[in-house]
Amino acid sequence: MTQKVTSWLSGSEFVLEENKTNYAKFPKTKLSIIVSILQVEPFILKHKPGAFAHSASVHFQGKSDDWLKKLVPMLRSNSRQSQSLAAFHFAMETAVKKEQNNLKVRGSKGILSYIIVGIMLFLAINTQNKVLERLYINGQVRSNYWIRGFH
Amino acid sequence: MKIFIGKLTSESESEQTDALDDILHSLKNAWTTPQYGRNLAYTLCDALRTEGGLKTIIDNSASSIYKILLGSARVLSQCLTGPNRDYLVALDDGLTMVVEMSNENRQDPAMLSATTGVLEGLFKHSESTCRKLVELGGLDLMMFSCRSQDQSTLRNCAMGLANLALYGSKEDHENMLKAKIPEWLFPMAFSGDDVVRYYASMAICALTVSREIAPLIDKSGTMALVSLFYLQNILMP
Repeated sequence: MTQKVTSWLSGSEFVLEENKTNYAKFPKTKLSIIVSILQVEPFILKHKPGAFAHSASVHFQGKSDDWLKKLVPMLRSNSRQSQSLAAFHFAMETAVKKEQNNLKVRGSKGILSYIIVGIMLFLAINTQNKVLERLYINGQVRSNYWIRGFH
Repeated sequence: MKIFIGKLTSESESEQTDALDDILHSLKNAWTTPQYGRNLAYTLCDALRTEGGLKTIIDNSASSIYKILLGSARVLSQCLTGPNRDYLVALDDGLTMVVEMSNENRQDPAMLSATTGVLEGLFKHSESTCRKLVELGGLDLMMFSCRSQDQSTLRNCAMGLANLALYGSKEDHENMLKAKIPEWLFPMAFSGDDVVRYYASMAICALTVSREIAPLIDKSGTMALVSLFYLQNILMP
């Protein structure tokens, strides 16, 4: 009760019905987490960055330059998950900005570079390039290295 | 837009609410217009500010008439572009008025949906604004809204917390952890709505970037789940 578990479990009301049971058991065993992941997997396999940008109106116009700058540290994060998400977002953002004919990000050469890095990261995984993937997984990503390699 | 703004100060309550509805409709149409929507929406939002409509709408935060209060909150949630955020933050008691309105009406689902949208926009203003919003109770409201079953509210909540994680200071991040925000974000990372799922995960990831607090988040086990979500997206052929 001190950990507010009951309040926390109330959140499961809006989890997919099929996940509810397993998710609610999360505090008891990690096995339930794995089960929950497997159940979610078919759902999330539907998404690609470009298509995701068109899936909801909140993504239609993309994010501001300022917001994207705030996302840059995630690309340099030691956390593979954070890097993946940032790369995914920059890939999505590029699709949006390309449609708007607005690929040039104002006021910062750095941001555009990082968008390229994001795309490189995305392509590295997407094309199953094992060398790039290994570099990516090992966290050996350095923006200058990738940009030089890209050109 | 000028005609609608003019009606905002009408003495007739119905004219005011109609004008708010019309402005909201115009803004929503602009934001959902492909390709040129951003420029269009920014133009409308600039007009709203320069013609005095934004000031009236902010002042309406203290209105005792529910329809005007709700209409104003809805318009505010759609018009917080960068310059309009600057304007609101620079106003005396601008943030206080907005957060007070949000907290006072948190039990009303329609108001909660609108006010979380307002806070979501304000959380991407600056570090100092984030600090003030948290002090005023903005984080409490976002935490409260995590329990909502309304899609729009949950989206605002997830995006707002992601914005706070990105724009907030180390102190704000610590406050987020004290409020057990990662635990509230956890079920949202498994929501049936992709947008909620995406930004809830974004918020968790943004929090991990701060090394000092990363171990606390890892303890929750959430990152392992976030990982699979995005790797599966990226690995898709």
